[in-house]
Amino acid sequence: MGVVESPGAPAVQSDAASWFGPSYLLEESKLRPPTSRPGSVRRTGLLDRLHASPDAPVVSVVGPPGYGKSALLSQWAEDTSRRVAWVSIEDEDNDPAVLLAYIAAALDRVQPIDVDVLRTRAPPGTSVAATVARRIATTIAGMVDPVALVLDHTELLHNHQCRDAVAELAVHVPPGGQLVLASRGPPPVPLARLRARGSVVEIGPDDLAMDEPEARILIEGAGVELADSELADLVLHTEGWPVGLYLAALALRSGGRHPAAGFAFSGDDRLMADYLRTELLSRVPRGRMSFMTRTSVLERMCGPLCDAVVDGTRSGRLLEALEGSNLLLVPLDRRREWYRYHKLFQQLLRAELNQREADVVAQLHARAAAWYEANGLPEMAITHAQAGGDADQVARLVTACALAAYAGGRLETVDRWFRWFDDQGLIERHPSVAVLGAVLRAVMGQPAAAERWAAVGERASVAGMLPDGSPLEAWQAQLRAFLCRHGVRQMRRDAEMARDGLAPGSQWLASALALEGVSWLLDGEPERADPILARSVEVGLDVGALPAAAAALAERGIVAIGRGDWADAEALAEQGLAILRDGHLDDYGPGTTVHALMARTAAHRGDLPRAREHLRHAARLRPQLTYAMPSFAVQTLLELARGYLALADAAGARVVLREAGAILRLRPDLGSLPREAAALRSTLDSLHVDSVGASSLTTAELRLVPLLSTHLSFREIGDRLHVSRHTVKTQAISVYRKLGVSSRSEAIERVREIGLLA
Amino acid sequence: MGHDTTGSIDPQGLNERTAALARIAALVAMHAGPSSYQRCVDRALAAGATVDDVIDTLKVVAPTVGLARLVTAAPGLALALGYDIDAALEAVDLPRPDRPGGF
Amino acid sequence: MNRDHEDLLRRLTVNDEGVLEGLLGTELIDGEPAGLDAKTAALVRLAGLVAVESAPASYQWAVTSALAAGASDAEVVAVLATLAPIVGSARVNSAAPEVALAIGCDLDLYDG
Repeated sequence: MGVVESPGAPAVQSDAASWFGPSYLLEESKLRPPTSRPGSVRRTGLLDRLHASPDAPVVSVVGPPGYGKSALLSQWAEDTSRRVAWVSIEDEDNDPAVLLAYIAAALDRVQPIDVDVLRTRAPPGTSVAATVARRIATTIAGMVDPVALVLDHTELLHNHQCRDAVAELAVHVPPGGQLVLASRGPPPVPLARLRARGSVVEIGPDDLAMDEPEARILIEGAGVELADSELADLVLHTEGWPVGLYLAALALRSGGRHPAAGFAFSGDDRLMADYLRTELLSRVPRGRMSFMTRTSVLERMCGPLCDAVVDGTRSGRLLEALEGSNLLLVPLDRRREWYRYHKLFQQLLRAELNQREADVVAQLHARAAAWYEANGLPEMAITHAQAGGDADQVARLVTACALAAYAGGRLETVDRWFRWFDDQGLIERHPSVAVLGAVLRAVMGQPAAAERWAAVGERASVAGMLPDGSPLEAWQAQLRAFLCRHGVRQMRRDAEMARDGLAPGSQWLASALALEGVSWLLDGEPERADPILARSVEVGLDVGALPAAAAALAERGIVAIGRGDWADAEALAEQGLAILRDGHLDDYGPGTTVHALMARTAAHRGDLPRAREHLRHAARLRPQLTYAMPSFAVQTLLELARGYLALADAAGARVVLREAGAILRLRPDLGSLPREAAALRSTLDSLHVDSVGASSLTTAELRLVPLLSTHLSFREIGDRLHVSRHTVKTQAISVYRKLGVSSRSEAIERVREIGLLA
Repeated sequence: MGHDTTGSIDPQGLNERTAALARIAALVAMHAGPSSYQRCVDRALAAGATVDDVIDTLKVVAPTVGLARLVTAAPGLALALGYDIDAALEAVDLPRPDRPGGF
Repeated sequence: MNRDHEDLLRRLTVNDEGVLEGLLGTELIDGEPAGLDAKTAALVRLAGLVAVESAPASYQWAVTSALAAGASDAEVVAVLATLAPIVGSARVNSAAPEVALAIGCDLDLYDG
């Protein structure tokens, strides 16, 4: 983080690296194009092609691995007059929050920007593609110099939200901007549409294949001289596949045979692997070979880590030596501390490892996991621990990292950690994971998953402490309190049990207190509730459990309104809002309640436009309110109903009341809430319904709105929401009608106008 | 529908244009499918009816056959006139080059 | 076909109240129609639509306005049941899925 002393720059800059807290390390090497290595071939022809279309909004470079896509773009990045923001995609970028962080960091390095503008959470079940794409496009449009955003290895993006976001961006690249995508297969963009508009320049494998002059430079760079006919043969056999040429050159250099006539291994990994095994790898000294195959389990390598994995002592030197001898080991930083293998080479080595020493693979991963954990990098240990087969270790790591990752917005990452346990059928054996997973799914608005995990988590009993020092029973009690399956009294008992059992400093303490307080409120004893809620706020702020603190403040606001103290209620709500904003938690569940309250206090003051704004903000977050956290959801929906009533919007009030009613049918014992709901319904009966407008959008329709704002077809939207195309179409028409429009484009404009889209 | 100025009179006493428009009105009332609309609209236009005439027909019968029938008929009729409503409901306008960001 | 025509046809397709009212020359949903309370009127309107077999958009509109006027899910479904002997089960069966969609959409049972 730094303060930039130049006019016009924001006074304090937030670094994208700090979004996810101190335990997360932004990998700097992802933000740099691969450095040009000596002897690499300059692809003049292709560079000319790229320079000939400097204004193409989208550039797509497609080819199987080893075709020099990254190298080409790296050369282009050096040449072009554009400023280049580079992101090398990796598996972790399948979390929208992470992908955005890297894009923000990349753009920030081109020109200091307010990275927080790009900070968006993607609650599971709510599409942020349109929002993300728009924010990136706006940022790029606002930059002083023309910018190109390069995304390398986009084939690694399989998360729908991320792919949709890239696709949206491709369709909406601002004038002067450019999106450059390199991928092994078709990029995640609507190519047909882009081609029809003439807005994409495409470079494919045929273009990337090397011709003889280029091949000669490559071969000679590897230290091999060939006669013209031999070179022609080689180019023919490899079909100009650059890495194939290079590896063949290495093989020839160490005395191997030429690939036999008629032996084509242009893209066939298996044949290539066979050739290289016999001609190249077999000539590598045993020790070095073992080192390379064993370290191939690592995505990134440094001396100490390699030492740990191979149980050796001089890995650092070996890495340096390897780097010098060929291009297949890539340095990741200037200090030559970290390296990685060229991906294709790594694949080859992995295959070798599996052939020669399949039985040690798990152990190698386990050693890597241990090293990362011992060196204070628990998250990096997780994938290795999973491959290492030590589920206990994975459980330990996940329970230690999940809450912080969740708080930082990496919801998809957290989801994936838990899904691993599910996929492996391991939830039963790891109750701490089950309980934690249940709670997180509950707050993320995934009720069925929460129930399923809770069922497992509750049955278990295990001795020993959880990462925060609490016994399992305390977490189980907390979970029960959240789920509130058996009524208010039971919720209180569970909350009290959690409160008493949780270790001091536990992240859950504030929530336990909040739920205890709420139980009194729902039992009609607000004076008992308030002090407990106040303590919840205190504790929450103390340990940094900000969502809980904000939720508790909102509850206090409800209490304040109950005694007619509107000024106090407003102050409390504002405090809650400030906490959410500072913590970048605007899109989290407690935000719904806070905004509902602010709507009510604004309406009470007579500021109707403000009230409407807050209700719309709350509407966006409604999909997170489910029966998984019933007391919280119903309370919030009832406050929203009161907010709509204050605006004389009977239709809007009815919609939220209906949804509250649906939850009450599943969880009837919620203290005073059923009575309150009934009372509100009677009030409405005497009200005349003026018109059915935007406030009448149901939560299902609100879930559709962000997807309607993309260019996805109804069928594709149906795939995302697991419904039929017909359903999407019918719901879309309902949305249009309620918005007073009759086309999708008009709908998109309208939702943005009225603030229903972030 | 205006004073009839087109030529031929068919045996039933209606000129072709009027007859065609009347048939279209019936299609609206009868839940007709898109292909029926295509045939009748083509014939109406060939008989000298204008697009305005066809739309006006719709408006005129509304109170009689019921608005619900119009809602059902609209897509098929539109298609017969060359306007794909389904596409319009699903398609997103591409950003115009002159609008920054296209959003 | 000009923009006005396109607008009209599109808005018809989505059962836009404004355009429908324009065609009729009166309000579709009257404050106090013929002495019926808003909810009853809305349910009666739904019945009419089922009887003449309408488009999904019309059913959606009718169900939404019935719910907005305070009808319960049960009451909406009961309309269908009541009509069966009169309009025949075929007509009711073709309306039922759309009505169900219109009700079900309002209740968010989505599970992430």
